[in-house]
Amino acid sequence: MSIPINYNPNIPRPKDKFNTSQPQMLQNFASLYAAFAKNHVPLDATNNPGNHNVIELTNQTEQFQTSAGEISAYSKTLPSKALALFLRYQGNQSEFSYTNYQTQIFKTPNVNSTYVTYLPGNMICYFGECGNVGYVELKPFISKNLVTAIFTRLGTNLSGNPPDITLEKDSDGIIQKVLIDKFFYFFFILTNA
Amino acid sequence: MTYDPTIPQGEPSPAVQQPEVQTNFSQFASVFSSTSGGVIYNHSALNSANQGKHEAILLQDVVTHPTILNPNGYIALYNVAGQINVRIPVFNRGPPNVPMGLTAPTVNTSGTPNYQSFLAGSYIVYWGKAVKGTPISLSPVPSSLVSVIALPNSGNNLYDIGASISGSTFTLNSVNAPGGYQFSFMAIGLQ
Repeated sequence: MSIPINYNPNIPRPKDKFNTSQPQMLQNFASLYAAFAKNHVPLDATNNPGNHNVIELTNQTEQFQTSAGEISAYSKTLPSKALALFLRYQGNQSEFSYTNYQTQIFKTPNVNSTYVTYLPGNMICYFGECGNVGYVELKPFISKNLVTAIFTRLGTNLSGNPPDITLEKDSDGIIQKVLIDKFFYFFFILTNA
Repeated sequence: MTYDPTIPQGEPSPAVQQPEVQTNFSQFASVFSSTSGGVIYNHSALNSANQGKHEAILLQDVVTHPTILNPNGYIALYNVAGQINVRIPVFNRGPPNVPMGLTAPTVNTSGTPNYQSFLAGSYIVYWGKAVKGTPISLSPVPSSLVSVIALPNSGNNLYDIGASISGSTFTLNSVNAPGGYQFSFMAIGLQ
């Protein structure tokens, strides 16, 4: 992306002739208009000028400072490499990620499927229905710690006991599967990434 | 009187262009920050202590999801069909950056008949109590019900428990819980 270098905050200068400052002012008004229209309804729109069409938050590397009465919202990269929306409450309280990995690509409404979403604070929620295969796969594979795992048997055949669970991790310590006994279950699993 | 990005032009005298320039300065300030009913919209006003920061942000319905091609650039927050969506950059490798809903049309905190909120990704989550063997119909009706978790609510917490889904309705089953026994549940569906 090219960087526009059109807006000049130092014009007009006191001794400039008008035929010098006129095109400079024209350029500044045009630049203001174009920059503002990037995320907003244009300045000369008949309806709702100044409202936002979209809020594009560029990747930040530092926490934003927040004074009393302010909340800052900004984007930052998570350890999972995903860019996320971060919030920081007033008075420079600890920042936290409000969003996490994109989740809708995993929303396939099939039997025996696992769905995934997140809670603010880098928590990942996996839920759904597992067949009697003996495990729940925690995809995307970004979970480091199991926080809680709750299972409810599916159907009316309720013989046996609540499942004992063990974890299958890769060499980096990322959870791949939650291993359980072979019954049909509904499940809700919470991890952090 | 609207902002004009094409002024001042060369020929007219400064006397002609002065009101055009003044209009642009004035219009920019009023569009940048507007106040209605004591609420400041979009940006803190120029010449205020917080100038340039945001106040109550109004997001127009953009109808279609924006495209993000830069893998490292930015995330986008926007409104489609009255709901806030987020789109993250496309990954260099792997899955596409599918738009994701952050909100849902309704939140029920009254508890009548059940509590309901939402999870990012356009999921609806329901909580409440359900009597053994009595079908529970959820509101708002999910397009698909994908998980039901239930636990004994009181008394003998060793009661067995199972759940059956039929469309957007579920029923809790138990062999050893007495008739009329209430279980606590959490259910998750798709919008």
